[in-house]
Amino acid sequence: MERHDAIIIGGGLNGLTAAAYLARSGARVLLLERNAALGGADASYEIVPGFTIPRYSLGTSTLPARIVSELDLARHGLRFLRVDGGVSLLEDGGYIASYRDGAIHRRELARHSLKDADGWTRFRRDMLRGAQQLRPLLAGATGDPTRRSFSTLRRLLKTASRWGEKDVGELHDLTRLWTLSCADFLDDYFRSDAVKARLASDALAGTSLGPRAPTGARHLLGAFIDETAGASGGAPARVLAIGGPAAIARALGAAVEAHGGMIRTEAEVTDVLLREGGARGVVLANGEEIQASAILSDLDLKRTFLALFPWSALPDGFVERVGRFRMRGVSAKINIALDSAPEFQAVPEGCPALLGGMRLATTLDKMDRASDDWRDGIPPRAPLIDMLVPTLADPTLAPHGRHVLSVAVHYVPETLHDGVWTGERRDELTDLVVERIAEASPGIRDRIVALETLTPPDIESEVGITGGDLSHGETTLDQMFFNRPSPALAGYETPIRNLYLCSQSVHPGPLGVGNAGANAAALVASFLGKRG
Amino acid sequence: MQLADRSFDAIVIGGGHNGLVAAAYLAKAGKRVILLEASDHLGGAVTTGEISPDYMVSTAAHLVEAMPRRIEKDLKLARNGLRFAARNVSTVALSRDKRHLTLSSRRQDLAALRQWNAHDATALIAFSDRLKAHAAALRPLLLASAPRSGGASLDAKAAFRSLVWRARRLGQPSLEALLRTLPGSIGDLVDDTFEMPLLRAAFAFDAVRGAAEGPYSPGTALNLIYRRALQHERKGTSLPRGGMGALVEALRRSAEGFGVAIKTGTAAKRIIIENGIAKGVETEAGDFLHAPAILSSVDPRATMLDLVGHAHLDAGLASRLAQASRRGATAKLNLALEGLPTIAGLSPAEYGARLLVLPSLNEFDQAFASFKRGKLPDELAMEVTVPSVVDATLAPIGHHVMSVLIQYVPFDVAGGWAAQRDRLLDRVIGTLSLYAPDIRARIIAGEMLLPPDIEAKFGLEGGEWHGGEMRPDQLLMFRPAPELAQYRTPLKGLYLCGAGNHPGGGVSGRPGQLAAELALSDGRRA
Repeated sequence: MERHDAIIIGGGLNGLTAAAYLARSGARVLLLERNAALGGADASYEIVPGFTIPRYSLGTSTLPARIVSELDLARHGLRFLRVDGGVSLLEDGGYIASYRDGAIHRRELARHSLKDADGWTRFRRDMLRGAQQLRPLLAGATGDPTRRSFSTLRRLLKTASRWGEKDVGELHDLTRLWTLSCADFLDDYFRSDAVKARLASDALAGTSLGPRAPTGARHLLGAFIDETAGASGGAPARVLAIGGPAAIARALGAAVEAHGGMIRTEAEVTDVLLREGGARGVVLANGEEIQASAILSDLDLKRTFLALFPWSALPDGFVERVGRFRMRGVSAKINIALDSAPEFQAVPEGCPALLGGMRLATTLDKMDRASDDWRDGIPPRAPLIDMLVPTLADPTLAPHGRHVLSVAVHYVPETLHDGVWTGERRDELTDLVVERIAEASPGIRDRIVALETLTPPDIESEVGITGGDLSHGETTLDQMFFNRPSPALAGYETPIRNLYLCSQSVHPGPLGVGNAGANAAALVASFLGKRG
Repeated sequence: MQLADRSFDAIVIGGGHNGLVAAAYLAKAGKRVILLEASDHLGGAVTTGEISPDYMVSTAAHLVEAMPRRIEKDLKLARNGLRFAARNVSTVALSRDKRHLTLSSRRQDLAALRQWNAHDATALIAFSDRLKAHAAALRPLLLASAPRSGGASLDAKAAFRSLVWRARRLGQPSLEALLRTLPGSIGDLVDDTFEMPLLRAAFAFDAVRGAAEGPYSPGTALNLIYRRALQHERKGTSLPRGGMGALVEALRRSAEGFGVAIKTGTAAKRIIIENGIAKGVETEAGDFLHAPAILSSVDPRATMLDLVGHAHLDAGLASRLAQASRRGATAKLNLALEGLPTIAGLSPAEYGARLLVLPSLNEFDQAFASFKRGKLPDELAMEVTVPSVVDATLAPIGHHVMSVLIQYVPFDVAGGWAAQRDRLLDRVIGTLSLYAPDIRARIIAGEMLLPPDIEAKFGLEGGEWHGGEMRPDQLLMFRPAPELAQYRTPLKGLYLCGAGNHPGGGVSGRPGQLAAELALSDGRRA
């Protein structure tokens, strides 16, 4: 029987990152991926021969800079492009764009409201400060605040003192940032609904929160977490991997192999082998057993525990607690191949912000309604539509002069209040979205060579993520930091000895994909006695 | 009595219950105090009014839930005439299938629930215990004067550190639950805890009552804990005999007994400021009153922006106050009834309970969505009391008054209230009829107070009952603004003592008491 130091179940970006770090530390590593392609939710495919498109995600996934450099991914061919932040179309036929350059961005905002250009200066300053406070929390475990140990108590008392010594105005600003809704928070800075809707949709696309839901404002920090975000005074850049997010997976895979790790695709793990209360290996779908000293799961929390284990092997009450972790998909994906570049009437030709994507007719009210519909299990009547034409910046993805259009449709419920997702209902959603796109780009229908729609249940069945939830669990504050997925599990360890979690279901979740993998790998490496 | 050019030890602006509490405490300590109330009656939204001759009801607020017993004792309210028609009023969630649910963890109530749904009976015990423990852990933070942070004061540091100690004493499972509950929504919490829709909706209602947030809005679970913590000092919800106005009447007698001069019909025009020090008050009538301490129980925003004025304020503070959120979400309906409406399945003793009329949680969430968009909710959630069942002074013998709080009524409604008022009324009566089919026939008279009416009648901006929404950025040391927390203002001698200050709204008297104690200790130090 084969034996390894560590087996990683699942080849998403976190699993690959964990495998690469462990292999680099000298561990004998085997990564097992169910599908043919690496990348999990960030896998690409050819929708028609020659047209490569991210199958499930919009295509804007990146890795934290420290991971790219520590794993030397540039050597494995990974390159990033930084482009302007994108464009939102407005209901009145106008548009609003996000530019990296401060002067240009302020001028753009001033087109919508003179005051908002000044608001941007304050907003950017506050976001940079907030992101700076957040960043150190991401690279490492949070620690379990409920643990009954002297060191935990001492740490918490120290934290309490530090907070108590802060200026009350600063505490108030922090409280507002972390508890207010996007709409309320943005009211402090901006007047124009177009500006506010642009920022709120940047922050909330892909989350379960609407713009008027409390605690949504902290998602505004997301775009600023990257160290270089907003560096030239404008909006954070959109960072695109050349070759799409699948290229990140390929580079990580190459790094794993360069350090002697092994990767097997089309190898589905169906069970974890247990002995004496600890994980000892895995069983594949073909019955093959592979042993290892440590098992890392890049599957989501629910899939890990509810699918790979006999429930009787888990501690009392554990299954119920895992069941309470909320995972509900919020996005559908529509992939389109085009025989020529799409034109958007409202936006001046050659507008550089188009490279960063295009969002359709968003208002705060519409977003709010769509998110309410989502909670009620109704397909959105006015969906938030996020589009990216990756071929505008990266022509390698399609034949010369041809394009792919990647469309993420938001606030799409996984379960419908009145039945299930059928082919017919999927087509209804597709028609609605294509209709909206055609309103912005009238010639688009004639340019379509191929089109495919994936609803949350489709994503669940193909990628294996429970509920088709690309975040591996809702990102509301009761499921973040030490609550992700619970205080005892947020440190990557589990009640099953030798079994670790390394997916987005664990801290810090989608805040810098790759962090969970890197953090879990550091823990496992020390367990294995390898250099970290 | 001529007011002109009189000097006092303290001037209290506003005769709401907090203003009266503050004035009474100051006078009790031997200070010469005058209280100015602009309208011709005291108590603000804490008042008893006549629906029609001989039918009396608490016009707005209708239950005493959070006033500490200590205030009752200190101010000798019983000796000044305060009687309770009912203490420890229980809560009954009404069910359309006539199987009503008494929300308590008493053995006999649980036995009934256990027969109905054994899982939820067990869950209710655990949930109640946990809620109590969580409220206890947070209580000192909520009930003391708000912690201060920064600068020379170490109050906040001590408060946060003691919070860590208390949280640790909860034990691991309870602490884990608290950490998940604090930022979470009440909807998710009850969905995870209970199976019965009625039980889910009842706790959700209590968490969002009076708030402009929905049952699935993150942070709403905290409201339930906060309310429990405030209620703890009272040990039970009670109904004053004679309605809420009787509480104010007792406070008035107490204050006057201690020597407070109370002037109704006397509006403050401005607070006189000299060199950053509050020196006195100029009334609308042109009188000048002087005192080294001025306590305002009116809205902090009105106090600072209108009575003090921008000239004496930091621009940041002024704009922060101007922005403070005031979204009223609750309307009130008061009915005079001929006879007691029959609610099938309700035992005679339960007619005196706090009755909850609840849609499913999902419908309740949709009602919130309608509210957000300025529309009337389709399904109504209401808190109903029939105080005349336990208090014969309120209506002629055999007749009754009913007091109904209606949740998720917007301030501005699409189509305008002139057109929508009757539709809402119809919907309320229609919903009540589902439980008490004979109610329509029994109505003699009624009055409905919509959020704009509540604003106009009681000066509560936005029709918001708490003098500022109770949300995390407007609680504790941030209430009403970080610069103003702990009742002091940047102006020496000027204090804030209304519900807009920590620990906030509801009929608690705490802001009044704590502000008075602070002013007294400042006075001793000076």
